[in-house]
Amino acid sequence: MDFVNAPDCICAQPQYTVYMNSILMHLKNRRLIWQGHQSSDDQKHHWHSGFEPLDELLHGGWPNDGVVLLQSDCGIGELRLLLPALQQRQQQQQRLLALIAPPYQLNGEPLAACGLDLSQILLIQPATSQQALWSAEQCLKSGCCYAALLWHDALEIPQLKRLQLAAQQGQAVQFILRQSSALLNALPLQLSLQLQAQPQGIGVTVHKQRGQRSGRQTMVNMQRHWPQLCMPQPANNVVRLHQQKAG
Amino acid sequence: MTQLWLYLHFYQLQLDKLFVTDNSQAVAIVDPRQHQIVQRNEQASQHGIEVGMGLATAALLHQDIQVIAYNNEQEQQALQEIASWLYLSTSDISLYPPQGLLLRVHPMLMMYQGLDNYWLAIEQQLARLNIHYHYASGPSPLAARMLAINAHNQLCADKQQAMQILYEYPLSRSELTAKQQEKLARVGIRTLQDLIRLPLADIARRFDIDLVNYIGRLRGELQHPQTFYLPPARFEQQLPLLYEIEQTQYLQRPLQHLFTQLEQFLRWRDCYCTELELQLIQRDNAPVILSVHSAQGDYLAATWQKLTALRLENIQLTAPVTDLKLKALHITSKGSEVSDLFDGRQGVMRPLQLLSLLQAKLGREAVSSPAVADDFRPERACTYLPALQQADLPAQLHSQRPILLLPKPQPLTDKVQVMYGPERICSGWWDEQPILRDYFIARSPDGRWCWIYRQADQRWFLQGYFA
Repeated sequence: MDFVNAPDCICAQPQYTVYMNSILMHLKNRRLIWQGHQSSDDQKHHWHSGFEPLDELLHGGWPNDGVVLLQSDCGIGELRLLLPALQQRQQQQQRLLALIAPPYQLNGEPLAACGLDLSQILLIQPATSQQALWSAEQCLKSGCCYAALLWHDALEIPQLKRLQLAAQQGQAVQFILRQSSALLNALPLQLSLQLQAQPQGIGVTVHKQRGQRSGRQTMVNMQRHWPQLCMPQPANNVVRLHQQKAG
Repeated sequence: MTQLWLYLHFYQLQLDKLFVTDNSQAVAIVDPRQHQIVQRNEQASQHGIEVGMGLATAALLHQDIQVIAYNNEQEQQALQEIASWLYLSTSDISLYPPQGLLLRVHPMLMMYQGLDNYWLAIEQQLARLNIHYHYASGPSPLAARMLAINAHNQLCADKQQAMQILYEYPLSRSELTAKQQEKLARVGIRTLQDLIRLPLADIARRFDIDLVNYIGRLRGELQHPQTFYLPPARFEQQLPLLYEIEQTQYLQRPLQHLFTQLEQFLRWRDCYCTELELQLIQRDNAPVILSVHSAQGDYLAATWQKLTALRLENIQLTAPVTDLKLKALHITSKGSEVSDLFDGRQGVMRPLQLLSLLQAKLGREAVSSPAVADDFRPERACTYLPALQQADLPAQLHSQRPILLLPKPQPLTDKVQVMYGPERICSGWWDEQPILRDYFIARSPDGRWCWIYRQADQRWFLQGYFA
């Protein structure tokens, strides 16, 4: 379905007598029409996530700026889902990555092992959640970070709006990792995803994506990147050694 | 006005700077290259030890002598200190390292109303330093220097008289090289008097230009430019407030005044400041001392004001502020900044500026960069460095490590399914924190990937999450 984004353009020129199709064509050429199946940005400007199903789900990959909300339990692989993309962009842009208020100690070794330059990572541990939001805003606004990861549970609309503006100003992406699963459709976000643990990786559901339908799902298989962190595929000819530990 | 220079020769500077507790101890400074005594104290001299003596001879004369190696840098440092001390009394000081200071006297005579008063002031300043020196005045820098080095120890404003004394010195006491002296000796010139008698044009024809320059400068006929000592730049300003201020946000206006002065100070010198100290002097209470950092360095008042405002947010005043005091702790010269015009994205800030901003608000230790230490023990391998600092990675990185580590391993209480392992880590027997653990990767029923380990006593712990 085509959707006319700028009706005043038609009204302003009542003497327009050609057919509807040519009007649409005209508007389309002037980029005043937005079509639902097109993504708002060109494919090439997208930031590939490193996982094909995810790129497909997000129509090209992570957005180039704005706020991305990831609702997920801690420890199911939510950071591993971001690592290939973060590493790729660090190499391209030579900018900083800010990690703000992680819930536990951040271990540099796996980050270095997947190719991130640790000296280009700012680990910020603010005392209060207010300071955490302030740090995130400063990092985004400064223009010297390509992404900021913030662990934060209580989010409000004005705060998100500020982060969104700061992210656009600094051409950076704000990833917010959030544990609670309350639906937040009305929030001003670029992208909101729900992550669920799956035996082979992570199940991703789009709650909201600007200019796209919501509710789409996919399964990101992490077998190739982290074979040890996947349940073995159930196969008929393999006898599984089952070790169960009672705590 | 006729020129008048004063030269101070500190012939045993290193020895004088040495802190000797026992005054009966004989001490000598020895040049380690030639094993010669270069400086010795009173006690050593009583045992017959003289400057220029070999170390072996000195040891024979007095076996209990304390010997210290000569250190040029120490003397230069001491010379700087003396210069900054004398700068209180006289303006133009030129450093002749390692042991000399040249003072330009003639511009100071008007202020002190005569050479005697001037010398009295200098002598009093030097007396407080408790150092030994020779001195002499002369109509040219070189003349004063030569007289002082030869321990003339007299001042004389009259040019003719000073030169007369100088001319009687043999050439060996001048600063001419041995080669030049030999050349002159061959044609029968043995004292300065003989040399001066020759017209400069003749000397120029027969000898090299260095000798002509030397004679000309000695007699004060040729220019002898000097570089004068400048005390290192310091910025320290105190601002008394008209009204006492009890809330930090009202400090912004008076602070702006101080920062504008700082900006001007730095701009004139083309410098950056990287660290400031701000003292809020409180009535009936100890002053609050804040240090404000800028990792990149800055001179703009607005930037410093912003950083200081962030620091002030965290300060609770206990008493009204009566005075502000601002001190620049570290001043550095501006480094050259290069950025690509066609890079497209022009950031508002540089990484170091962002770092200063974050550190000003959150504290220095709240911002860091992760690093990996070369250790098998996970607690030791996971370290943090000051932010943006480059560090070497260990040769081998373990890929099976969780991104999030618990601050302390917790006893494992949940039922988990072991998926991978074991990986035995047995290390640290050398520094008394040994571990012997079998690590496993496990999955909890709700899908979290845990890093767990079993100790030798079969107890299980959870150490991290593969987030």
